[in-house]
Amino acid sequence: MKAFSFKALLAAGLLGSSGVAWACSDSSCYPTWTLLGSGDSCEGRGFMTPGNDTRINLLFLLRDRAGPEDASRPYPKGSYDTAGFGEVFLDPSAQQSAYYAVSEITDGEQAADTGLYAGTRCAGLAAASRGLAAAMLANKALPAAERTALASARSASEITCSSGNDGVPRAGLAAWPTVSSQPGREFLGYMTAADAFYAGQWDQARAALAPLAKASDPWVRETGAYLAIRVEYAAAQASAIGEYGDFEHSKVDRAAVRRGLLANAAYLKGWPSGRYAASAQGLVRRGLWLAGDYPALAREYERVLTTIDPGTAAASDLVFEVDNKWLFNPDAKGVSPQGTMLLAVQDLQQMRMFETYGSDKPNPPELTEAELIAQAPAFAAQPELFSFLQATHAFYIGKNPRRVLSLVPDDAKRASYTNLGFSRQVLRGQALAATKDRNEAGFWLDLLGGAKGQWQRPTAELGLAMSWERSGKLGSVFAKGSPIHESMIRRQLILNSAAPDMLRSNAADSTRPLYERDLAVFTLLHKDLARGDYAAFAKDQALVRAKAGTDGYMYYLPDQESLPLGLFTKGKWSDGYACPALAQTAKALAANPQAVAPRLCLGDFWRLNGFDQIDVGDTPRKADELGGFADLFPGKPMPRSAIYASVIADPKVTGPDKAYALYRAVMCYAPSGYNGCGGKDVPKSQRKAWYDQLKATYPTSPWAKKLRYFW
Amino acid sequence: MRRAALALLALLAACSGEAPTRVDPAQYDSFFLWAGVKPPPVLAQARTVYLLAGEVQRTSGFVSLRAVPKVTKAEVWLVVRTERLDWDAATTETVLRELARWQVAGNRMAGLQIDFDSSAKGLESYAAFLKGLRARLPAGMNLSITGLMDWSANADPAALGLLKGTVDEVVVQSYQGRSTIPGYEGYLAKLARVPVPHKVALVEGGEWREPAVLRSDPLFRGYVVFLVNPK
Repeated sequence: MKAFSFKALLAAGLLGSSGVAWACSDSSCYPTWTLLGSGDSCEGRGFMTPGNDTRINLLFLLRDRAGPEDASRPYPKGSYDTAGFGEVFLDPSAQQSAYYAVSEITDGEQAADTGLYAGTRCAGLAAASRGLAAAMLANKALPAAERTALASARSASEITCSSGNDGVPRAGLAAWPTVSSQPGREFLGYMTAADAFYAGQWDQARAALAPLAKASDPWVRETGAYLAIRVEYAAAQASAIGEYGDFEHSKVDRAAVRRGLLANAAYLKGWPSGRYAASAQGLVRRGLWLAGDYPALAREYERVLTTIDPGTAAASDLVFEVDNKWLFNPDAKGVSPQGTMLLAVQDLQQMRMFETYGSDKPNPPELTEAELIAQAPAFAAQPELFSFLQATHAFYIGKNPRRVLSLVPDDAKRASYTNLGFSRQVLRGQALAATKDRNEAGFWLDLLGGAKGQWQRPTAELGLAMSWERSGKLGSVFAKGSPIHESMIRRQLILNSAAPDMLRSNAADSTRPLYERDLAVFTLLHKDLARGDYAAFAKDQALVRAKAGTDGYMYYLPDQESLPLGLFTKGKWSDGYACPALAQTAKALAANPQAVAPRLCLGDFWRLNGFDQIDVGDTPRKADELGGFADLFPGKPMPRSAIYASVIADPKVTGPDKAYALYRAVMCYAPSGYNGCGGKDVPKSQRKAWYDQLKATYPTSPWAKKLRYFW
Repeated sequence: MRRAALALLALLAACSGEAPTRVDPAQYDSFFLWAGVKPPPVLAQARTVYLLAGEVQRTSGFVSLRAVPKVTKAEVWLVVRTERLDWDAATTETVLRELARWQVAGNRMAGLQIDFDSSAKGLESYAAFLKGLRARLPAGMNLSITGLMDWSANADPAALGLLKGTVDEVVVQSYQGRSTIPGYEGYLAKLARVPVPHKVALVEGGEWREPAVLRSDPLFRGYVVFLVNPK
């Protein structure tokens, strides 16, 4: 589970008081552009780190059992709430769908309990019916007439599972055929038991199952033994379902669980490689979870984690299950994990550091260095994993990057990396950056060579791009043949850091994606205007493609459905106060930057085209983020509010221009009372003063007439 | 700018010195119960409950997060949270079957609610999805959706209009996590733009002062309180 997923945490009911959520009015995750995965992030990173969702870390570790990650696979398609991730960041479902084909519910008796709780019993009915039909055919001692009668009775009993009856207790089927042969009686016994099971009549099911243990038909004997497990587990949890369909672990029928675990063991002993062996093996976990036997569950998880095929989707299903039933199960808290995989993932989770909203003190780490060192014996066979954990602790909690360098030697020139190997090198790279090592960029360049696994290369590119930005070499990012291929990295730098000539050269680079080139032009033009280089704007305006759209809705410039670059050439110029096209406005400002009407028109351009709501690299990034080191675009952004303030303050301005500036200054706060024009907020008394001034000095102005309130 | 602006708003709210009013579930009779939230006693007074039944995740079909409820008194909405709109036939079937199971079990069903974080921009394709789903709903079942405050502020009126005739109500969320979104008054000022009956979802313990505009909004249908586990 990740540290900071709003709805996911709510869904799991785990949202703690530190989970103060504020961003935008949607649930999107806007990633923080850094390699630091310390805790309070919603995005995951392509290497193991404390801030990652535990499922990401666990799946990385599990997959290492199959060797280095070097297959190139398509990246999963992003979605609205992961806009801006590019191929740098991930979330558990992206990771899952990158590695595995979409997991389908495997049909058959085995899959019948895939849901978290009750109610999915019927999923296996169809396959079970096919198995039953084949078994009846195979039993030569079963008279054909009885077989026909039994088959039609089975069809009738399937009603239990149709029309929404699935899992809702009802009376079992009443009209069963009369059969006289021994196999006929055995098959009928199984069918009665199965029908009672699907109908939720546990005692009837148990009674019908008991004699099947001595059945002569091998299919009936085995299937009966397997069904016995499922009957008991289903019965055990049925009693724990509350009025609202909620699950109360304390109300599990313990006796039923015990019987289920015994039946489970008996089946696996009797049919170690039987028809349902895989399912029965999985059911052991369900039984242990229902029983609340977390130490045994941890042992079982470790066993499966170390034996399951990392190449199958079942591996990622298992990871999700472990997260749910063990790592984030409050009842299992305090029970020691078994084996190194769970232990390592839990250690990383306990190294998370959060900044509590409204406080600059992060939480104390849950895992101390002494506690980690005490785990050394458990990791004796995996020194690289252990030294990685130590180095991570030293880096994130000990704030001692030099120790990282001694714990993790340089190994950046490999041909490919396991997830652990790559995570170690990324951490080393972070430590090189933290110690201001002169060869940091060289290290990342080396690492690019073997970073072949999914998310690995973009991760190394991020390290390199930050290093270059920090060391005054931002131009290398935008140079011809630059190794920074990841568009989302370049987009961050385009918006926040790039100098005008870098924007122009990125815009002209036909090897780059269109959106990125448009964004370079968009940023250039916006900053030309906002930072006062009106002459440059007049020239740069020619860079707008003829086909550039004007769709005016902007919400997240680095990655949205379309970029309305055409606003700069075909936008809306005026809605009352007369303004010419933006090109004329810019020309007038180039001639005289203090010209009043053109300045008011520039404000109207921003207002009418949605620039109030967006961030075109105007808000400085944090200093340790990509795009936060350099701002090579000259000048300082001028907020719309500054235009009005300066026009209002200018005694030479009178008449309609003054009236309009007053009107607009007040309207900045309409209707919520919050400033929508950027810049410093002014107190309500100031808004009232503007309002009064407009009403008193220009009572006949249309703007005075239009303004009925102040906010 | 959005992030920064909201940060500022949060700061302003915190600095205003006025004690904010907090949402107390005892004052309401309609509730969201999400998975993992322990049903609190206040549910006994519920007239309507929205129960999260499960999720359609990006990589899978419907995943159940709740067993079949047996709600004795309140009217029940079955809520499905979805991360995707390209439901395959099996997913739709499973959801509809779940709805039928809840009904067969004796719950007084109001209908199905879809919880999807559509961007204001993506409303058009969301509306198309909802239209398809509506056509599959059995008679007598209503269709509700959760909505984002962003819609009322930023969505294209034409796209909002597409919801009309397809969904019976929109429950607009005013919170994220455990907190009311700062600046909610500004967003909700335009709530009347949502042309279908709408409710406002409040988070238990979140800040809330009812904006006057709600009372004069003819399509406003009251509140739903999102319950959270005690800290």
